[in-house]
Amino acid sequence: MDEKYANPPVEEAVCEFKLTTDTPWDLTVPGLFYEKVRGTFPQREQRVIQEVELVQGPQGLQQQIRTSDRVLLFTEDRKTLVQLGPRLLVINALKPYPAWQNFKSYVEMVWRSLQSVLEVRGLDRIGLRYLNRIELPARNVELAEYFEFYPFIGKRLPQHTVSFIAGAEFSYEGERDRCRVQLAPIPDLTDKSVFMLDIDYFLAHPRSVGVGDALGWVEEAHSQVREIFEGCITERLRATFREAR
Amino acid sequence: MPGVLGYGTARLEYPWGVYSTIQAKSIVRHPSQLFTPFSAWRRHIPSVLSEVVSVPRLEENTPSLVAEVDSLLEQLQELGVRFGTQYEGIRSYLLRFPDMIEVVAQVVCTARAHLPEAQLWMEVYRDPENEDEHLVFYARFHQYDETTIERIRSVRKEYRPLLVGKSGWLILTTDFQQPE
Repeated sequence: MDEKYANPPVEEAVCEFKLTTDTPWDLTVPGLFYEKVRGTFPQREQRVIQEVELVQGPQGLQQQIRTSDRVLLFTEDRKTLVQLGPRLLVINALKPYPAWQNFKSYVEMVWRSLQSVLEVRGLDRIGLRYLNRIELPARNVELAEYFEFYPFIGKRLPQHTVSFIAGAEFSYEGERDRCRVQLAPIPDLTDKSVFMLDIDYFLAHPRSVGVGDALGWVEEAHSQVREIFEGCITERLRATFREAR
Repeated sequence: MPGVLGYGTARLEYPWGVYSTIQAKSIVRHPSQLFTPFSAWRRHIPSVLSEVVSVPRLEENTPSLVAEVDSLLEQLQELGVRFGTQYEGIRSYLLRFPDMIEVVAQVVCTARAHLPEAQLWMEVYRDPENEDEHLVFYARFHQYDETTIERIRSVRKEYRPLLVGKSGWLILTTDFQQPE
């Protein structure tokens, strides 16, 4: 999760900025943005994303499918990328986690680059998400030995579970922010137990953070995510992240 | 406290997620939602794979590539696609070339429509003579005849345009093996 660990379990760190619809956007933006960041993100690709939009109409919730182009810009090693779509900016860092200071510098650089080519009028959402892949060296494990966040299973229920998903959503900053935490096992063919601890901290109310405060929000979000991560694990698990491999 | 758990090769059901209390009138789902039955690629092919489209969830997640790829592979497994021992290799390939995610979904969709009796095996092919690698789908049939290759070619013809400009590559072929 953080640079203090020799083996951080982070498989992906993601930071998202979703701009308000009154922010002007046209087809020239991706090209102008690319010129700003190509020194760090020289590899350029494209995806066509289809999203389902649920719209509240007179007949109730209606499903609409819409497509949008998304530009993907990669670093040379393809471990960090920027996704730019209409009023959407996402920075993904894949394993090995580059440490917060480095990831933050990517976030700052691309956010400022976008602002230099576009007048950002507001933020509908900001998100900071960490997916942690936690591998334990045994097929059968007691969750309580490694986690402080796991499902409670009452005595009248079967005590041997083959799968589970534990989730909770926490409120921060007077309901302005939320953090969704999920823990679930993931399949593995080896003699290990593997779990995904997913921590997604996000701005829960559009425009509740100003454009000029966005990077400050990200810094605070990281502090909260780190606290949550540390709160989800035991010292025994923590120790495995400190060991050099 | 849960008892001793054994998760080695258990197949996950991902039965639920945490519903948020979002009250917005218009909610756009992100292309990645971990552990949800309504994953990104299903939205690309809802008409053909309508039997697997579930009720969408009213929430947003910060868009993760890992979650998107895991969701895709989970759905492929549900559709009977086999990975052999190459699950991690396929996963790594898709994380490295995420513009192939939609292509893979569409190829499986097209193959299911045109080759419904085939079992699809997915692998990463690594050329021993250079560093090139790409995805391979092997269509395996109980019976092979003179039309088999032609039918596979017709699927290739459909998906080939999707590969234009992509960073990765894939091919559908057969190794004339029997399905499992």
